[in-house]
Amino acid sequence: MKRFFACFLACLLLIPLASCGGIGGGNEKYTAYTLDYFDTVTTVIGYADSKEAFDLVANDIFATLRRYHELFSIYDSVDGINNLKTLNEERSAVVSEELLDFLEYGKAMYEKTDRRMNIGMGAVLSLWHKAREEGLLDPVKAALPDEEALREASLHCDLDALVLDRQTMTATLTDDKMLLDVGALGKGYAVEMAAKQLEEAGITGYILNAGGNVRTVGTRADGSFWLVGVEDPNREGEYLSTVPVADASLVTSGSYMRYYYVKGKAYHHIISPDTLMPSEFFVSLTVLCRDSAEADALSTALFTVSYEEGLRMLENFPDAEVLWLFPDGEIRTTEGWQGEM
Amino acid sequence: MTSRLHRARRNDILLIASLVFLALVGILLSLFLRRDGAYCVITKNGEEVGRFSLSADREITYYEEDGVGFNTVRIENGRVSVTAASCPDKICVRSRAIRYHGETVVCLPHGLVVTVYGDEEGPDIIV
Ligand SMILES: [Zn+2]
Repeated sequence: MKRFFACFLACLLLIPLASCGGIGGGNEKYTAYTLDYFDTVTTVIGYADSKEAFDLVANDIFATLRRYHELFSIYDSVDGINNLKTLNEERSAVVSEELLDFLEYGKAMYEKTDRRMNIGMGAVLSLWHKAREEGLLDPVKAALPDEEALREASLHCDLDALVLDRQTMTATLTDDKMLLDVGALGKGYAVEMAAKQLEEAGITGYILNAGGNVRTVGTRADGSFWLVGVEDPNREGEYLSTVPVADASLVTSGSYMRYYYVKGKAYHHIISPDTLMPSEFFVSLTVLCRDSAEADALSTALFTVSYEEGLRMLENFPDAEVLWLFPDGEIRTTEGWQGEM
Repeated sequence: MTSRLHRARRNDILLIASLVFLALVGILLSLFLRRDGAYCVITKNGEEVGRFSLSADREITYYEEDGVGFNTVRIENGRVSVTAASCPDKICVRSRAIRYHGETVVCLPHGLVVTVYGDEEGPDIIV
């Protein structure tokens, strides 16, 4: 009994100590936005001692994103650098180490996702892109891409045709009609690079969000985990799950994000390499893992395969957790999904 | 007779012991369930005059209409308190600093109320 009382008293004494936490507090929370990169809104949220200190960090992040945005562009040339537009046009180009690293990563992901995450699908994607742009401009005449053209294009999507040479820093497309399009990987990769920069500088307490590619660096200033809400596309303002995270990435791929109508039916932008049509397995799916590039790649790859096939693919990604939303409203998650439902 | 008295006294002791135990459990629970505050709202005569995060230190002085009477509210280390006031009773100044959801500091003479609110617990970000 005496011992019990001693424990009890000890507990009582610990309570005020435990609630004193929040070392590193006294920090203010700031937010910065830009619309300049990857055709989307980029948000930086972070804790800093002053607006000036926050702006320095946010500007560093934006500078990194701008660099990758320029490297990855397939529509705009950039003075003085060879980017993906250069490579698509000239078929072979000397590229920067940053771009070569990225292309190498893209090839590795291609293998790791059973060739589902393919940055060499530009020939197919460009047909969809064109059809969607025209369909959005003139909804009455909106049409699907020509089936025969799609099939022809799909013959030029084998990423092995992208050959990289570190000695000469050269990237070459050995298939005449192959086109690179890194839309499904570039944002996540750029965000990861910016986040790594913060980590190397010892900066924590930040969220980077490039159009739904969320990467958290550290925790909130008080040491508590960030809360990330997974949007419920069927109920505005509600969440499928709320996930507490630190140093983690979340990416959602959804059929409701970018689409156009043809004869009253919606066609979204995540194209299956099998059917060359928008994938119909899920309404959305969300990947949670440490690395933002991996989360981005995986969310696209998983979107184009069935749930069962997805589980098999996930064996290559042991630290990734996934939430699937099926067309009938059913939600499934991997066993390790930490979110509140 | 004596044994009955004994039994009665033992029952009393048991009752008191269990009441004390329950009270302690209650106190413990309320301590554990106490939700950390995230921001405070300051009202004067029922009107909101200020709303501040508890995560940034600051000091604000609210003056009476006569421009002389005042309450100084200070946020420091996640707690908020009234550190100085011209009111006659000084109860607000003597109140301890508050930091948990629902706690208040009141200055009746000046109609000033400081209330702490917890985090809304909405997500920081949406994907
Ligand atoms: Zn007072």
